[in-house]
Amino acid sequence: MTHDLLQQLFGTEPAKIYIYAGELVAGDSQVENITLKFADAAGTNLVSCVVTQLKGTYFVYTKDDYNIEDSNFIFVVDLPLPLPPEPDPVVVEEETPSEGTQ
Amino acid sequence: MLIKYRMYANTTITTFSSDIKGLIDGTITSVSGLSAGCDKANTTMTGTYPAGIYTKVNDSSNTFSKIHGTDSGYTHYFRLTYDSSKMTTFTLAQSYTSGTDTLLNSVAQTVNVTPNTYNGSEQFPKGLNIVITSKCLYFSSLTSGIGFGLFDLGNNGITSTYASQMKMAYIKLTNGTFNVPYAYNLQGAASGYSSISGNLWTTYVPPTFASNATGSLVVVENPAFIAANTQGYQAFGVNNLMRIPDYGYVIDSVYNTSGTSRLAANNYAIITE
Repeated sequence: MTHDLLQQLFGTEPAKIYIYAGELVAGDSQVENITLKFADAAGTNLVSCVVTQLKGTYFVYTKDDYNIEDSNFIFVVDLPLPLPPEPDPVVVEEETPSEGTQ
Repeated sequence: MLIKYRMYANTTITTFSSDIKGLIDGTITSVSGLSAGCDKANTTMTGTYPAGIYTKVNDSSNTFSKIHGTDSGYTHYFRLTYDSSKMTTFTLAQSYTSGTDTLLNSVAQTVNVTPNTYNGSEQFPKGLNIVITSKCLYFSSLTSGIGFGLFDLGNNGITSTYASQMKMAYIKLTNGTFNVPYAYNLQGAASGYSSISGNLWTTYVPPTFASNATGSLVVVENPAFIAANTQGYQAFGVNNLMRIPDYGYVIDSVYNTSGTSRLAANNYAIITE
């Protein structure tokens, strides 16, 4: 997933996106498993985040600014993405009419 | 039900949060049950508490569950967070783990609702108005400059196909915005569940005031919808929220239709039963 695709999916509100790189638990409770590990990493159970699987990868989206220093969570991108730099304006030099020409 | 909650100067964040908790979980059913910080002489409670819809799932973290008012197969969760002086955030979540008191798939919204002292002589008396129905929970505080709540959503093609999508939204009527923390986005190669945000649907012509054959005022109320570009603008009806004529009522004023009160917001009205 490129950063552009992630912004397309998650929108342009200020947020952070992480990839979950830790162990998956058996069964279908990956959201709970990953959220609890994210809460551990954030140091509080009062976290707010969304866990979603895209093309086999689990992403964690949060609008809050937690200090995550846990190898299970790899920081991907801050949203919104910076706007691309505007191209330099093209300067068209006017031709000065040469003297003597009518 | 509609609670016009009014406070004394000695209201503390403890009494304020305790009263709100008791009103939501239904343990406070009359004005007499409110705290000493509440100005009971000027507080009113009208209507009926929606039994069986709201449950307090964690007392210390102010976390509640809410069953969808018309589709009982959906239960979502919300949490109110306070600091030493105000309600700071309202967090809506798809699910919840009780063992660790952790919300799953949640987004926190900053609300900053402060307690404030009622003074009846003011043009717009201060207080907090709360609507609690089976289909919505709504808070409005003119002093704090915010009206927001949790509203049930109707069904559409997204929810019928992607059933994990939430059927409730956080809606801030102060500026007409919404958020659904866990929703399915149709984005080609990037399709999947994520949070969606946007504006209440305002592209249709707003209703106008009219009069009937006896000359009485008719307040035309249209349904309200939300839709997101990341879902191809599939529209969800918002339960208990009506679009009313532009600038028709001052925020927090109350009018009745067929005996049921409406609390006015910014070009919208919330049905209080």
